[in-house]
Amino acid sequence: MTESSESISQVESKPRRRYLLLLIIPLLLGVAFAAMVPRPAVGLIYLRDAIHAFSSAEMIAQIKYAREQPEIRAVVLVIDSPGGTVIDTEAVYLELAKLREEKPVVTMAQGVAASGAYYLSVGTDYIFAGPSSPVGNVGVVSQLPPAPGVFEDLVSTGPYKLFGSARDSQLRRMEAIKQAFYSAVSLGRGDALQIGPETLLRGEIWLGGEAQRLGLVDELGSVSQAIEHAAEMARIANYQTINLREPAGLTPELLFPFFMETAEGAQTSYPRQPGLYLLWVPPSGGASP
Amino acid sequence: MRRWGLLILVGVGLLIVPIAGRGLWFYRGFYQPPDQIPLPPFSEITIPELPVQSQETSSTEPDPLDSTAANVILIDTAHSNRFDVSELDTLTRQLSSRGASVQLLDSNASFDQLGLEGRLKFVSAYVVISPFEAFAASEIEAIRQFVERDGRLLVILDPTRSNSDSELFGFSDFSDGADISIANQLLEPHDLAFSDDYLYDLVENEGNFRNVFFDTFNESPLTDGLDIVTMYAARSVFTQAGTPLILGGETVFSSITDLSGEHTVAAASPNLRALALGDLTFLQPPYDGVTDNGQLIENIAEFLIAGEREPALVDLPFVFSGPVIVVQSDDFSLQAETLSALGAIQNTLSAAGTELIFADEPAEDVDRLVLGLFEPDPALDEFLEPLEITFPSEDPDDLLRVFGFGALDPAGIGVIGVVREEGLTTLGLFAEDEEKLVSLLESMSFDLLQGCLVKGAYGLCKVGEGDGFSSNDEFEIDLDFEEGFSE
Repeated sequence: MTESSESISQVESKPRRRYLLLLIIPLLLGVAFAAMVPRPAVGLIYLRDAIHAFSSAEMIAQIKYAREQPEIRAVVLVIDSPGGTVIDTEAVYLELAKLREEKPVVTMAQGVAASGAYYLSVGTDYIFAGPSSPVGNVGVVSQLPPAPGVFEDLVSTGPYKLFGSARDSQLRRMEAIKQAFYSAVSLGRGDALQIGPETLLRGEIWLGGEAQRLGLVDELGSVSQAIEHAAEMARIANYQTINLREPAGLTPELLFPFFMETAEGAQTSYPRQPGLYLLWVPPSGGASP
Repeated sequence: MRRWGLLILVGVGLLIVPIAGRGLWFYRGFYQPPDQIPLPPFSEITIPELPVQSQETSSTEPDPLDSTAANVILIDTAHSNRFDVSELDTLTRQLSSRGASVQLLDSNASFDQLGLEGRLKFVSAYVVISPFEAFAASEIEAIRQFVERDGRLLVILDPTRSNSDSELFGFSDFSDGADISIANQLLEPHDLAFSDDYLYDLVENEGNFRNVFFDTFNESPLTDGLDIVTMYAARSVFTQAGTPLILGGETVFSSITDLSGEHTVAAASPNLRALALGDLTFLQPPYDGVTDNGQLIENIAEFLIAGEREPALVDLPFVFSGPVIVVQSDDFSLQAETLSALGAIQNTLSAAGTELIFADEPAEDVDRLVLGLFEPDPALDEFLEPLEITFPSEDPDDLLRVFGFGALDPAGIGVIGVVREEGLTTLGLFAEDEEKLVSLLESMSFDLLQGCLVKGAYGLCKVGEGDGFSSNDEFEIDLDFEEGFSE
């Protein structure tokens, strides 16, 4: 009796094990496939330098990486920059616009977000600033080219071949760039902007608190808050944050000699090269070249 | 069969649950990007162009002036002025077309060892631009007196000249502003002052916020024919009792207050002889042709030559405008002492750039140095009449009459007078006899009448003993200082 009941039990347990196996396999497969669902990430792009050829190329590389990687669901631009060249600023601005077509981008003005750096900020979906972060400085600066002249040994095929434009033309081009900058601010801030062009285009720097009151930024906060807000916009949770610099294949930051230095080696606020700049040029503490 | 179906359903569920669980753990929905990411209309933004001249400037040729002291414009380059003379080419062309000439005051030139006081004796207008070296108190006083004598003063500052920029953004000193205090010291006696600011307009400007349109003008010859002028970085000017000439509208702000108001960029002194102008750039091409700037430059040229300075003895030896011919009374022949004294006069005039010439007949078109005695002389009548000097008749009780001094006992007195008529200057020296005339010539040549009583175009010098003087050497004479002859 005992033997027969054992044999019956063995006969019944075989289909059960089979059923159990049939359930475990899809479960394991489900777990395996679930593991392939990427953990979403908020990508961090830091701008802690002036906007110049190198820093803009690095930013663009990170923006492209963020756009191509599906797990990067949102990007936070952490800014501490006085701005930089017009062409490099516009290049980054346009790349940010392309990224925003797919993923939300939030700015955190952790330090200075002046001039070209603010230009980039208004090209994002939401702007945080520190309570005392200098923000604004909307406008263009430039050094006028020399008056056209002729030289004995240096010859050219046109009056502006050497320097590119007449002094007066340079001044007028600045005005066109300023209009584009203002347009970017106006489009980016929309109804939030509480001041008109006559105030904004004075080129003033505002602290974060003032900037929020005037509608230049959306909220005062920190990098963490900016990341949370970006995640909310992307509708993700339990995300990770990734500094996109290394994944984008960039080498450690190198100091690009953008600013002029005094004879003693102290850095000034003035760029080395003549050109058109979206740049804040604060006093250099008496350090002038 | 049903069991298998259930089994497959459970299996699929078990397959999906981990995936869904993990998905829901991370993803709470789908991001909805904006329909459109708006971008600035880069291709539609145009570069503002230089505006064209709003109207024709004066079509009539200006009348050339006579070549007199009244058409010499002295431009200061002796006070570390931050400008290049070529920047004034448009203005100097306008002056030249009106017969005026431009001279530079250069502290290094030998001619200018006379100093500013000396040079102002023979100019109609004095132009100071962005001075960075202070004027001496004596110079400021000389300028004040120059304006008082109907000279014209034009002071131009430009905020772009207050900062010295060496390299790109490499300002060696930010707004040192020394030019403002120096210019204001000059302008203080004329109720004019520059402000340490620049004017800007963010709403309606000429290509840049600092290029400001001005369309409000107070009536003045300086604003004739102006509808709108454009200044390219300009300082504001203040005056209490003077005339603000060119004013900005509500959208023009001062950098020092960031407030709008009727900011003035050009103002004239109460007597309209001193002009303070807050911009230099508009005088240069291509900005001299923008809006009515060309007309304004013409008006400024007219202003500079508008002074009708009467010659005064304090201006010696710069009362002449060209060669001077000596005309003497027929009653005396030039003696050795007289010639010696004239030689000294010749040296004095030569130092002032004037040639003294001798001729048998007075030429019609040259200045004259008339020498005569207190005796009726038909040959000198034509000179005496405009000089308004009347010699005593043969009646011993008759007195000498000099404009502004009244009737005088001629004994021991030398009279000197200067007058300009029809563009020619006549300087007359008269005394009782030739010896005293020589003394008068020496007084003029050696110390420029320092010991004489001088009033405007006339001077009285002690040239000997006479009833008109006390016995001591001091020049003491009881005179009635009424204008015109005392009867």
